[in-house]
Amino acid sequence: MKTKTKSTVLVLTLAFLSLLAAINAVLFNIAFPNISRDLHLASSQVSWIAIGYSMVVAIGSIIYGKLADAISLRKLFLIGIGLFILGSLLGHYHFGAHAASQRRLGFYHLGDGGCPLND
Amino acid sequence: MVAVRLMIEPQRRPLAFSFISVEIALAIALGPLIAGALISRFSWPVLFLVMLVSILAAWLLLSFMPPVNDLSGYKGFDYLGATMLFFFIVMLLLGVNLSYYYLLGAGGLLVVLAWWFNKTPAPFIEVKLLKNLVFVRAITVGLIINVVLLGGLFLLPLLLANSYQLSSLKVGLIFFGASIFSSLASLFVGRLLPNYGNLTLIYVGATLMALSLLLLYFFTGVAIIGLATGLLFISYSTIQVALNSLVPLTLGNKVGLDLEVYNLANFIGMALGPEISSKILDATHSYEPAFLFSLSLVGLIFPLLFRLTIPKNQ
Repeated sequence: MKTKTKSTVLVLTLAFLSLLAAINAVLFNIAFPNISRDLHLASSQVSWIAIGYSMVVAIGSIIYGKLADAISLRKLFLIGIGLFILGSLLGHYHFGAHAASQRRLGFYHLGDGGCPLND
Repeated sequence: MVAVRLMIEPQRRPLAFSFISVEIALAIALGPLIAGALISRFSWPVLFLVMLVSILAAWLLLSFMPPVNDLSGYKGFDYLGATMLFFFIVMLLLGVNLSYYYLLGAGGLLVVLAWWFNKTPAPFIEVKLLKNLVFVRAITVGLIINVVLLGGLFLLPLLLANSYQLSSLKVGLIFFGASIFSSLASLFVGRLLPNYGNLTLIYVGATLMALSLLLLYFFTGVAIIGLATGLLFISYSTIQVALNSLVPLTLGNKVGLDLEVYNLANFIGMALGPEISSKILDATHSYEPAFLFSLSLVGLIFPLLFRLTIPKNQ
């Protein structure tokens, strides 16, 4: 494949990852009333879903940014996406069974720090 | 930004950055819509599965991303600085939400961090960067608008669901409609930038943001909330686009990894927004004081940018 085409596909892939990271940042906001009701949480407790996300992304973005000078960017992205998928599966497994605590949401966000490499 | 800087050739970077800006604006529209549609049919844990689509990105990266980029600029990783920064951010957030004692701890850690970053040869964050007051003022504006937007994104679904009994799908549709205007505003503001300048557009955005919060504070009704949400999103996009172009200018000829500090300020703002809003909501059992607090923050943007002079050596 030509270098220019490869570069365009790469830009589109990075944009796709940006889209996912940004969608994920606001995805759960609509569910706050439902989460609050189902898990019997006060608004300050349910806010930790958004806080946890931003907190991990804040720290993750700068750590991944620095690590990008030392480790192959592709490897960093794949590690981030791997954590992202693992967190998604764990989150759905635990919360789907309604047997989880709010803390587990935090793990879901661990991989998100990798996606803001292109934010 | 890091990936684009490292992997994309200079002449194609503007295209890459514009892609990312439009996609972020689009995401604020799509996220609530997808969530609203899914929650109306399934239970909210299904939202976790949406991100499984990232497997596709992994396949694309394996196919089209070079396995190794240029790693010659590596100067060592400041593990201690990174760990202390992590605990500083955690303590700052816990301080606002749980106990003010954590804020004292965060203050103490900040002093140690400043000492460490001055002492170590390859610090996690360059302290001299924070002595650039023009840069600090600009990134504070970034922090403020993220506190306000994410605070709004936290409060508005709760307000619409609890006070107006709107379903998740209807809330998602309101956000989607508002975000469409915001996406258009991003493109429009980009074209206005060369003619009107960053500061003028930030002032216009801040005025619109204040107007949106005044509407939310003084008026009730779904239509007004929808209008205010639209104004909030448009004003955020306006300020964000102008700020993204202003911040590199404040760094003069030192633009580079320092932009990560700007990103960090944005993300800290995103975390503080829901945190402060939820704290106010729990304390007052009313949404208006949280909107009033956001309004007072927006008011700070004007003195922060007053007579801001950009370094000439860029």
